[in-house]
Amino acid sequence: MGEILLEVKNLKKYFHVAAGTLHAVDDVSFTIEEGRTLGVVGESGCGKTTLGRTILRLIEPTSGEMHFNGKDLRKLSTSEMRYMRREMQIIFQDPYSSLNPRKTIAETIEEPILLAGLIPDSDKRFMRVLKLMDTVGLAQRLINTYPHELDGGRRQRIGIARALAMNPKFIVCDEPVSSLDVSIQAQILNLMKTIQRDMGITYLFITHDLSVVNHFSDDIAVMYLGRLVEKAPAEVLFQMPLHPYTQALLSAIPVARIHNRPERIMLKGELTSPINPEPVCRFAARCNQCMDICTRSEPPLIEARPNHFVACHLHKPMVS
Amino acid sequence: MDAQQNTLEIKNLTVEYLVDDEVVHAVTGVDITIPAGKTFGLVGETGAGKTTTALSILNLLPLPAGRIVSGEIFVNGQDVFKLSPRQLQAMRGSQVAMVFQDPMSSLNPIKTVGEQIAEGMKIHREVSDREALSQATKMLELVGIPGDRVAEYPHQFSGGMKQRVIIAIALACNPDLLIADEPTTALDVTIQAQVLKLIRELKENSRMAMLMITHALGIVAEVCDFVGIMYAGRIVECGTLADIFDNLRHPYTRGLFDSLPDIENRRAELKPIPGLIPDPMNLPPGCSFHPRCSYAKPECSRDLPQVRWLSDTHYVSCHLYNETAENML
Amino acid sequence: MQATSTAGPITTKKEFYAQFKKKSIAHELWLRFLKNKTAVIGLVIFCIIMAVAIAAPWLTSYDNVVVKMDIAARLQPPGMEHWFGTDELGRDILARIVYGARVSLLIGFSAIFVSLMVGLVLGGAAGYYGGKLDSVIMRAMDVFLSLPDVLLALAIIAAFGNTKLNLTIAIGLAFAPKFSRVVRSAVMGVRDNEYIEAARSIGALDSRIIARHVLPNCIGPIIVQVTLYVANAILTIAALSFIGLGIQPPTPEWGNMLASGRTYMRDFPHIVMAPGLAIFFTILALNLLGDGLRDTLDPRLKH
Repeated sequence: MGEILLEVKNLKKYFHVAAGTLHAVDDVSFTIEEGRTLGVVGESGCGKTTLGRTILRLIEPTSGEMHFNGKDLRKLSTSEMRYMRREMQIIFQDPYSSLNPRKTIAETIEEPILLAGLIPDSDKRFMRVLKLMDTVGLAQRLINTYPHELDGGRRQRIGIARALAMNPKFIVCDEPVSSLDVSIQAQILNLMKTIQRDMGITYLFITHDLSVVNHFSDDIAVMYLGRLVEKAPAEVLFQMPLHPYTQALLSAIPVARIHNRPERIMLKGELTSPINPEPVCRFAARCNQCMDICTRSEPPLIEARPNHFVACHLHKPMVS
Repeated sequence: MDAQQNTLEIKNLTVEYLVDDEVVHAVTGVDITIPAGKTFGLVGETGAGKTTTALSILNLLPLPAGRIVSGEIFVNGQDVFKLSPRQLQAMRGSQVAMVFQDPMSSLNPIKTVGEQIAEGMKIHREVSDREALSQATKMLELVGIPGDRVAEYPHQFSGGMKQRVIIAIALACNPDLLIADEPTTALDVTIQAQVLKLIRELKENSRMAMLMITHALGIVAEVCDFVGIMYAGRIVECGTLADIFDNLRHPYTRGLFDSLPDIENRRAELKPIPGLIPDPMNLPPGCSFHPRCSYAKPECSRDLPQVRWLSDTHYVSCHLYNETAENML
Repeated sequence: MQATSTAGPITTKKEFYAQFKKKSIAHELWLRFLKNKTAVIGLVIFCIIMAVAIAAPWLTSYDNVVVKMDIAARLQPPGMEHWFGTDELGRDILARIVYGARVSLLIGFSAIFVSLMVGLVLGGAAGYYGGKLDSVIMRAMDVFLSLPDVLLALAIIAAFGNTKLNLTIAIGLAFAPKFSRVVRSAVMGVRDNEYIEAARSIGALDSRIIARHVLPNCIGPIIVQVTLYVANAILTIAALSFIGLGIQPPTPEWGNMLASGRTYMRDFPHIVMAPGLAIFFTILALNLLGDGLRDTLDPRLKH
């Protein structure tokens, strides 16, 4: 552990729309060490979903670099990238649309193994499918059931088994529990943690749910309108959020307590548009600590404290 | 509390759905009482029967599948099931208003928001077009949207603002009861905070009663006075906010609170409730929760637990409390 | 192959599959279809027509009955010897109707098969890839769609000669753009599901994704359109034959039977009633069947 598995540098993804250029992911950089979990949080339109898919090149980046295990992903050909996908997998949010309704559970989990040609023998391959089902907690008798016969929690387990089928090193988890009931969420999260411990997997955990991300991540990155605005280890972020957006976000979490309820920081106004944004701080219009410079220039991501990065004019880089 | 003061009284409501010749027991024996000016939080997971309960109040169950088997519902003292279709229609929108979860599909894309707010007013009250428009403008301001946006169309508003418009439409006729079915679930957390603040302010400034349906205990803590915990079509525990948050008794309620990630103690493993929500077509015998309950006793799989009042406000439906009112968890 | 034993643990896929069987989606859909009474009626009528058409050679003789003229027996109204009566050349109308069914159904289905194949390729590519390819293909289809079917078929027959094969191809081409549209919209409906993206993420090639993930989930709307377009095709064949450009007499075809019977319509209505009703019932059956299939396969009604 301690080795950097994924390095993302100045990653950009822009979409051309009728009104102009939509900056979905705008100059995002971070690293993730092997075996750890980076949580990415943000609200609608922050770009976190696009980020996850762009890293895997399911969506082609506009510019920037992704280095996985030392390899520059953008330099790989389509077939080399397809080969690389054995090590980089994704778990989707919607357990209803992420499974082919016409394939049984066994067929869905088997497909990646089949495609990779890892186990040519049909029976041995099937045994692997059974073992995967066991790992994710699916009963063997379900092998020939179809997704529509199962509930959201079980379907999500199928998605996880499919992602694990090729023994990946890295998994992008795109809101994996957001569509599930609270009691099931906890089950799935525990499962994912166990898998990480046993198989040494590195996660990029994308979510909008702050209480979940706190529990599940080692480090957390906060995104706003395509920019990375803060990144820190999880405890540090929650105890000492530096960016005003992070502070408001944390204070907005509904707390299931009736005593000692925290004071809420209310944000003014609405999200500004991600289309053709001005080169100023994108949060300035809503910030309760906005200064003059914020409306004139875009704050760069700086290391304000050891391992605590923030993009905000309120903070200066630490003096080393 | 005399009956006149209760805006909503649901007594022993039982609702079934008929699906492909099979019976789905959506709601069984539910009692809810909401006095004027108070908010009742109906909490439960998917399939617990919360939305069905809400739809029953206005007799809005999907036909022909939905069927009210038994029970009574009184709104402002009037028996809803005895009303003629015309009277029912008069009640909807003026005495009882409903806000649904998805703001996208609740608004008509080809009418301006002003028109949609005014529509309710014109149906239920004698107002001129000009008067309705002016009231619509006031309603928008009430929910925190600049009044000059009254002539804009829904697609010009963001998700959070659409939900506010829907609240404005619901409040246009000054209803006595507002039913809100997961009104903030589809919204970002910072926007949710704004909308919940709005709801709290509206509550404080009026005598409107509210039935808030949600699965999130955090939201309940923020806006509700009373709480009912629903599981598999029944209310298993019900009481004031303090009763439930400080003094809970039912194992399922315990499980719900335990499965929430604790912000203070992030390293602790989550404690999910084992097992799955039961199939409403095939409920377990006895107490529906017993297969997942760590406190289950032999009678739990045989007999339905009775309602046991622990105080004036707090009741629970669990065999643990057959003999005692002490906390058995 | 391992020797299977009932005593030891299950170790082969086959044994597992034997113990935990796959539920048949087709079976469930069939049961749902059966609940729709009008659809079943359509199916029954259609099956009768098909059965009659297939069994034609055993029911009657082509040379001796269908095309053999018998002027003495002409224009006889329906009776014991000739159930549907005889036409202006003394031929048994029932026998001609039966053989006419063969022609209509054969060409109708073949033509639609051709359109389906073309439609799957063009519509599938346009729907899956989108962008410029989609624009190009769809604009080309729009050109063809703007021509009435009959006119297009007419042009092809006039240019290449009036044979059954040309007729099949002509009608096939006339319906291909319509199928492309249907396939394209079905594909676009499926394309945005996450399981398509999931297939890409596990390394599937586009060809596999289209064949194994996209198309199997599009079958519903496509099957419905097949039945409806076959009805359309049969009508087009009848129309062409009616104006003398499709199937030529003496080969019996419902359209040309209507044409030749026209002059005798007033005094001998039975001559046109038979082929007219044959067309009517066939189209009706196919439409009922198509609507029934659409209701059965409606994804909103699923679970």
